[in-house]
Amino acid sequence: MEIIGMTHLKTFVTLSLAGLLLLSLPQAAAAQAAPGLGMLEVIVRVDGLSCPFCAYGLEKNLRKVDNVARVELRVDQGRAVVTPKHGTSLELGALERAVRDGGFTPRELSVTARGRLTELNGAPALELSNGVLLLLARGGQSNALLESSRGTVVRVEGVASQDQPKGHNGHPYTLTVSSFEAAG
Amino acid sequence: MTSTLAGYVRVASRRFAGGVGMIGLLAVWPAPAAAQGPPINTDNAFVTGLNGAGFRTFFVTFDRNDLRLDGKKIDDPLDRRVRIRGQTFVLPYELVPNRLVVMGVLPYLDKALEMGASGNRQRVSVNGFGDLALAAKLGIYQSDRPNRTTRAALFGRLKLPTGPEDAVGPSGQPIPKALQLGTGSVDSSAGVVVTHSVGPLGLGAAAAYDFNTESDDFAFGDVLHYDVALGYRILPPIYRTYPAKQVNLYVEANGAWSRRDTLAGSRVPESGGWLFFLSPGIQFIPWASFLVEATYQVPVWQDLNGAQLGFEPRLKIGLRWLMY
Repeated sequence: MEIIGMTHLKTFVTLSLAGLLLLSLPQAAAAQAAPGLGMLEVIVRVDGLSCPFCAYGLEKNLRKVDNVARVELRVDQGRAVVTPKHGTSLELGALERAVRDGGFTPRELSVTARGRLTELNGAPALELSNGVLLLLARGGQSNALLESSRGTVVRVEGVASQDQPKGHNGHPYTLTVSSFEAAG
Repeated sequence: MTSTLAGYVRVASRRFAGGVGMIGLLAVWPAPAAAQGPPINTDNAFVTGLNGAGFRTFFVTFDRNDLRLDGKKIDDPLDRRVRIRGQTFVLPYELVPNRLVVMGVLPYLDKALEMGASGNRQRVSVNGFGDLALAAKLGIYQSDRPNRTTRAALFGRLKLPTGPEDAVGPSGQPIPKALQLGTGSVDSSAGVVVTHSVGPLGLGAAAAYDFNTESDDFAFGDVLHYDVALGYRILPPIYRTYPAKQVNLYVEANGAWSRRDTLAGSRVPESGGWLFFLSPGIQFIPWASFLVEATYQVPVWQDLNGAQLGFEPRLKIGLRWLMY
């Protein structure tokens, strides 16, 4: 297993993931997805989390988001660690809404996912389970990386921001990858 | 001044509140929307945590014993003693997530007046549900940063005359207004609350004004409330993973200023005034959705108009349960 470290990554990869594109792939493509692909964990930084008793609604709202298997609130860190069901993905916008409805302010979203590197309309993307594509935005060496790793299964960790990728509507999340490794 | 309970009730029933007054009844009303978190007596600006129905109830007990005039105890030939016990039930509902909470508040009251010379004490008491109040709290400001938050909310309350107001004493005359379970009037309140919380420390301030209306030629005086609360989480020292057992300590200052009651358009001299409690309290949260709390309110300052019964310390014990 090859691990591309932070330095290597910063030098050669400015890999941005442009949101969650809930794009249904053809059934045949979905059926070909390797097992175990999907999001592994999403960590939401939650500001204002200084009233633990008030966090009851936050936890409940996060649990109601589709595909959520587990929620852990780390009050001292101001983090909500959300684990999806195996082989599924979470809608990042739904997580943010859940935090807001729960009474707090969502900040950055750290995503850990396992998927197959692919391409959509010339942009790098991560193919997750059930036809879900996690788009990788153009930029830096990401296209080159995609060329060298296309079709391989990788594990990425990235931090979401809400930059609006040009020409891509409705999924205003961009993830800056902090670690990247081949996952076989 | 008459020396018998029947005579006293007969005289006091419509003339005035019998030296008790609306200001003495405030303890049975909760902070208008405090079902989702601390502090105990002061409202907070959170409007969260209640996607379903929450429930709060507390028991409060206090007495009014010594007759006071201009802030000093004076001899009371009737040796009047008023005892009030209340169990208040609050059912909130988060109508708009993180924005608007509405709720119903209903107290069950047990009030008693005892007076007369030793060996010839007479007593009149009533018990039952008091007036139903409908309340709402609207979040208007929220600034969140890591491990801290500052919030503000407006709140209002409409109290309906659902409680009985026709209880009579031994003579068959209605007992004093302040001893009735209901006021007979439609009253409203409006206020603002600010909460600032940093880690284990919480600060809160609230102010509200009660607009009391007339019923049967009588109106309790309007009341201005002002509350300040300081809370500190002593356990756990570092709150890591939610939920964890939690203990909070509080010190609150709870004040009220009441205008004089009015009878047939005239001010009642022996009513209204200033009242100020210092209220230490403790709160234990054993589970994510449940807490118990207690506070002991000491009347450190009471400047009541005319001759009125003074306030003894108030004890409040309650629980909050978030039901989903």
